[in-house]
Amino acid sequence: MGLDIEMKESGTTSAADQPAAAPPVNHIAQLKTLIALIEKGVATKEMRLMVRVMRHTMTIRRQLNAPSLISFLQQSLPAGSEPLSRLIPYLSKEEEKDMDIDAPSPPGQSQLPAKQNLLPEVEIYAYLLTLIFLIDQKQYEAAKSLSVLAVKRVQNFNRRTLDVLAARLYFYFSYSFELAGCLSEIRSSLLALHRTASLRHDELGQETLLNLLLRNYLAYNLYDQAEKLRSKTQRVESHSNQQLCRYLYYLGRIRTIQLEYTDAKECLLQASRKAPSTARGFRIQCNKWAVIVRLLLGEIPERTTFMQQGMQKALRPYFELTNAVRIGDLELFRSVAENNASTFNADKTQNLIVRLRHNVIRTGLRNVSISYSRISLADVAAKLHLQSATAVADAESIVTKAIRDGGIDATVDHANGSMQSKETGDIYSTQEPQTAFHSRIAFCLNTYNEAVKALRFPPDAHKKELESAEKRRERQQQEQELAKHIAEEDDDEF
Amino acid sequence: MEAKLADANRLFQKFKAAYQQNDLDTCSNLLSQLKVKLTEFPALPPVYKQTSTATQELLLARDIFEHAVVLSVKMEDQDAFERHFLQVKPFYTDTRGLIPPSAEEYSVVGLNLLRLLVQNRIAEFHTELELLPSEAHENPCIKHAVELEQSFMEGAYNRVLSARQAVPHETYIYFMDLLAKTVRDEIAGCSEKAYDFLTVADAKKILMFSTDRELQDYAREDHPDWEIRNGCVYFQKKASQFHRFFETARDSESVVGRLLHRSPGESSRSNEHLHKLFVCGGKQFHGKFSMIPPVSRLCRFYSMWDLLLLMS
Repeated sequence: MGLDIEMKESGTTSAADQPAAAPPVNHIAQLKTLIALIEKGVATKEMRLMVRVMRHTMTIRRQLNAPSLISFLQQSLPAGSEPLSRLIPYLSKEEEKDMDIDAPSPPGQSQLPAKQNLLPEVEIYAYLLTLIFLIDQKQYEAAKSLSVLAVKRVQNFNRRTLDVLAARLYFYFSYSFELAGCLSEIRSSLLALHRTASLRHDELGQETLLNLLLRNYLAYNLYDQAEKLRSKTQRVESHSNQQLCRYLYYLGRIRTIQLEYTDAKECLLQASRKAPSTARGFRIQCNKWAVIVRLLLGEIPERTTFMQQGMQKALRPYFELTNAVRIGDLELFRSVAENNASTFNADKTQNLIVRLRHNVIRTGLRNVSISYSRISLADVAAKLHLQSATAVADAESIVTKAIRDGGIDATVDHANGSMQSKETGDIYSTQEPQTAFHSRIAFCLNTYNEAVKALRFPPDAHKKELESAEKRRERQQQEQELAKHIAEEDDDEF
Repeated sequence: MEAKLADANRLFQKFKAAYQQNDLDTCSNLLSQLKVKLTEFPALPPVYKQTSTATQELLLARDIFEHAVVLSVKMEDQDAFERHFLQVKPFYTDTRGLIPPSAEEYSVVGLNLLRLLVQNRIAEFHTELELLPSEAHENPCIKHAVELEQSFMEGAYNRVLSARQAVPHETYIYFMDLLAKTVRDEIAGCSEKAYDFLTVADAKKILMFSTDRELQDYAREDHPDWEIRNGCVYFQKKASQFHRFFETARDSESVVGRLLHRSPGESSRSNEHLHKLFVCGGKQFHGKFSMIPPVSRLCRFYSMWDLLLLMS
């Protein structure tokens, strides 16, 4: 615990330094504290310290520039070492452009003695930092080639302390290829990496790589392959909230395409709820898919879904769509779908919108059935805006199918060409209350069973002495601190 | 390699000649030989080796498999169709950069979509659909399949049937005929829910039968609960909720069981009370209906209903 508090202090000081217009020397100092953190993390085998390093890196990445990065590399990597000679060319290209900003610190100022051996973690961190910098500078081609080098290098090590950094590296590896628009090229190397991660029991790596592969497949609409991969890989217990959210989102999308709407809805809603509030784009995307899935299920999402802060504009087309489905107006639906076709195409939801047409008709029909106790099929066709030569015959078969599927409660009189709605009787005389009761009991039992399964009984726990009041206070305080820590980490960069 | 290619080409010309004359047996014979030849080409998926004749090899293989797909439709063999389609699929997805797109691509893909529709594999239908670029939806073959699926989902069955006249390709007719059978089953299923009765003449028209005889045979074989009398078809409505009933019974039982089990000592009086009710209730009903085992369960359920009401 003592270590933890110390770490937190160093974290807060570096965070406090940030807002002040920091001179480059300051970044170097900050980066150096991070290196110290990495070294401590390796010594104590603490994964959490590595996570913290990545978090702090994210806060300073925007302020980095080529000269300060170069001088940092020169100071932390031994002179003449292989990684140094590899990394510097990438940065010096960049440096030529903004030479006038800042002169690099004189070389050899405080270089590490060459004999001290370099921790692999520090080396990979240097690669990662450079890679992030290149991506931020939009040098995607350079980022691509560097990431290939870095991934090759990271494959040489088999150290669990490296997992966090390696997982991040894989992410940026895939990200740089995605930005360069050639995601399909790295599919086989991602698969190979995933295999290696599984063999080495690198669970964070497996999780990250599985998500990257799913992303890769879905980028090319290869839902079939994605589902096959997903269902055949062994799922490891989730180590990172972000990766879990991503996984749920991809799973939700696959399920939507395969018409398993109930499961898809669950996944998508969970993903959007679990996602940290800073990941606005991700949550918007989740919400868009969730709205469509709920419409396909015949539900109407609440108005508040579309009014969430910062999402109104992005969700506008989906709001209009929901409105059209709610009213059951085929004409309005058609015009909304046409006006927003470009948005829907970009979101890859165009085909789902086409599927919705059927729901619009169903809703319209339900409205008609509620309002009229008897109506001629010709009028039904007119109200649904069915446009074809055989509109009445179409209407008849649509009505019969709706009756079969339980959408409306009515009978059709073929001889007179009319639809007769049944009176809604006393619901308590039907099986309805029993069904509701059944589903509630099932839910309670399920919750209970899950809770029992989740209980843990540490061995010999009952043999311990009871703690004194003072000790308990101390423990509670510590727990609170821990909870605060965890809450902080949840807001990590997404 | 060039010699092998020329050899395969010669064989393919022979195949095409037989294909033109609709000599299906010769075709399938030659096709098996061709497939053996194709195994010798390294440029084909999944190896994609960059040989000097890679483009010709790929083009030839694609052409052969496209013909094979259509051939299996002609032979009315759906399994072979699926196999051949899966073989030709990599040529449409993975070799886009290597060879120019095929003129037959959309008609083959559309045919596959139709097959999935006929086999009622709607999830796979949509998965395949996602693979197509948006401009493909303008193609008559794809459009045909997509519209069919829509009409099918809506229930506009006569639109499905009238689409048979507007097939974009003659090979589609085989699947359209199969689809007609599926549609008839769907219509029958809908009709028995939506109508109380239909006159035989109307039923014939709706179900697309030309004679009364066919209708009677169909009703006897596929829907034994329909009744034809006085020139009308009467649809019986059956209601069976027993399954759900038992499920609820089982679950309530486990709730009560848990209540009895979970409150040790704390409220021994109410516990006793519960126990008495549970056991007595059970026994009482057991005695009454002990002859019929499933019903005894049902009766225990009733006593538990009372229990739950008492507790609430």
